[in-house]
Amino acid sequence: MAYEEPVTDYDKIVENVTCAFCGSNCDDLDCLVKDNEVVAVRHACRLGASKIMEDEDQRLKVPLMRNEDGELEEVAWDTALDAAAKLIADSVRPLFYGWSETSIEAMKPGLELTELVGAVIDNQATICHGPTVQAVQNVGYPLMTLGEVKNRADMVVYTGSNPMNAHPRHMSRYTTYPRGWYRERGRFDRTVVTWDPKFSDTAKLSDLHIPFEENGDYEFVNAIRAVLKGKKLRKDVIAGIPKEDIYELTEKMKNAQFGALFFGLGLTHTLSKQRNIDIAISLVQDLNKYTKWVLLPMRGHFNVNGFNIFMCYEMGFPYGVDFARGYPRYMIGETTTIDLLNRKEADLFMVIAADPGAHFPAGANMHLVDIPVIQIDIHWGPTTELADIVLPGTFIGLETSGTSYRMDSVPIHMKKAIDPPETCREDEWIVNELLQRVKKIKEASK
Amino acid sequence: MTYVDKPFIEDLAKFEDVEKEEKLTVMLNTGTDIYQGACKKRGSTLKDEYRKVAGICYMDPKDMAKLEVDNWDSVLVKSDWGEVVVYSAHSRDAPHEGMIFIPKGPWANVIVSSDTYCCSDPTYKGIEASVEKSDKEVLLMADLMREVYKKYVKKAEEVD
Repeated sequence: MAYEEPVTDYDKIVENVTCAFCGSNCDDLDCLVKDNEVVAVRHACRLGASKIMEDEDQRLKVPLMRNEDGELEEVAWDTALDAAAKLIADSVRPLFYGWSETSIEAMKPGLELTELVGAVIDNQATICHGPTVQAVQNVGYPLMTLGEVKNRADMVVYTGSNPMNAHPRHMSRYTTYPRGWYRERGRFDRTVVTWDPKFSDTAKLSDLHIPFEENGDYEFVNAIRAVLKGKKLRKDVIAGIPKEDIYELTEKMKNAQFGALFFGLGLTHTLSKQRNIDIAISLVQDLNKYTKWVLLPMRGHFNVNGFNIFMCYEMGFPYGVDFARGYPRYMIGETTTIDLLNRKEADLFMVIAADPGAHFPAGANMHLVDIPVIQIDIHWGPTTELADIVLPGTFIGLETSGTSYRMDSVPIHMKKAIDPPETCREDEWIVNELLQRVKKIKEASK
Repeated sequence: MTYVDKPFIEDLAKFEDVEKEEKLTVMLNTGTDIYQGACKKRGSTLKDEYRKVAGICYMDPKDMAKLEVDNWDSVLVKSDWGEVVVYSAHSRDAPHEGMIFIPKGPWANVIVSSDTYCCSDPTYKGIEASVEKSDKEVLLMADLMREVYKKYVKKAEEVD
């Protein structure tokens, strides 16, 4: 790695900016600003820093629409918004997907628009922690805040997640390395365990790595539960792990003073889906007969949890909420994005602050070829290749302030550090403009 | 250093006594990885960097020896849902014989299952796939999207 000179040429430092990348929402970044441009950022991890030091070449700066040749062409804001509003007003089964990388403030008019046109509103939870939300509804949610883990936890378990790659400051800021009130020596006072089939970058830093076999999550966690309940294991090897190791691990978990279990998409993306989480939550419940244990899903985007909280508060359902009948309905597998696309049901797709082109299976994305796609985003990405109308938003947490929810459901105000490009508009403004224009069309047609 | 143009990949060790195979049957996992995350969120998706971080198949070095592929050679990965050409590379998490990892992105999307089994979530992990050596170039993001989805591609027009 080449040595880089520290940046000394800057006008001002904007302190305590909140990172708009993962669910850790680190709110201690310092941005070095010169001529309304961030020239360097301090305290951020590689992911956060690369998002803030964005690629200007691919920044969407003007509204775009497809011309007759199918090329994206610059148009005026009014033209693009009117065309988008007309598409929304004329559609029968619109689907508004995304919202996890924008502020709660932008979701408000979004929900109003959804209700007005009877659309389906859904966020990234549908392809990541959706099964977690279902499991929480099934069995409960032994939740904590990350501050409790920092101050109290002496045993930290990561399973199906790799924070060193996806949430790089999670271990150093909240769970493993920091010194806490009751953990004065920081890392030395804690035992870190990783359950993962792979020897991941997190496993390399852990005290103990349990490499259960692929798709063995359910069996392995169930074995620990059985041991906890005083049962004897009949098989010698369970999910690839010798039974002696399971006895030893269970004993360690029982004797911890405060344990925290963090789980990621390794559990939700395999075949047992929400049943994996059911069993993990049940394990934490069982462990609480002996000592204090808590658990938390490792949420990916900085506001993916915020959307679920916002929707639960407003409509009573976390994601995949369908307003087609005039009242909110939520039915996993029916009103969720991938299923709607797989069944080729949606006839309009609006994507805001998300990238289905990069993250949906091609089988689902194929339907986007046949229907109009409206994109609200800040960068030209894989979805732009499928989009018909592109509306350039602003960077929440750097160019626009807003509210977001951290993975442990703590609301955080994200401040603004620089001004957005003149031709871009805030997400909240765009969605509100669409709402007003759709309202006008609906009133005119009455 | 906030950004790298390609992931750090270890040199391959030599394996003398492995049986050569034309085609390997493996289990495919997808997910995030720090290089993919940094490049994607930085916004550099049209560039060669994105192809190098997301259009890549991390394999066990023994599996690579069986296929006789080197780091940055092209391999064809096939599953029931499609096929895609990606780079092969030594996995940081090795050994994991019989398992491959492709970071999430347009390349992985082509071969993952869109089945949700009524659970809203597609099956991104634990998919049966096969890997074989290929002499085709790995496509850039825009070319791949045009080849796979063909939205706004005229029928007569060929994708390079």
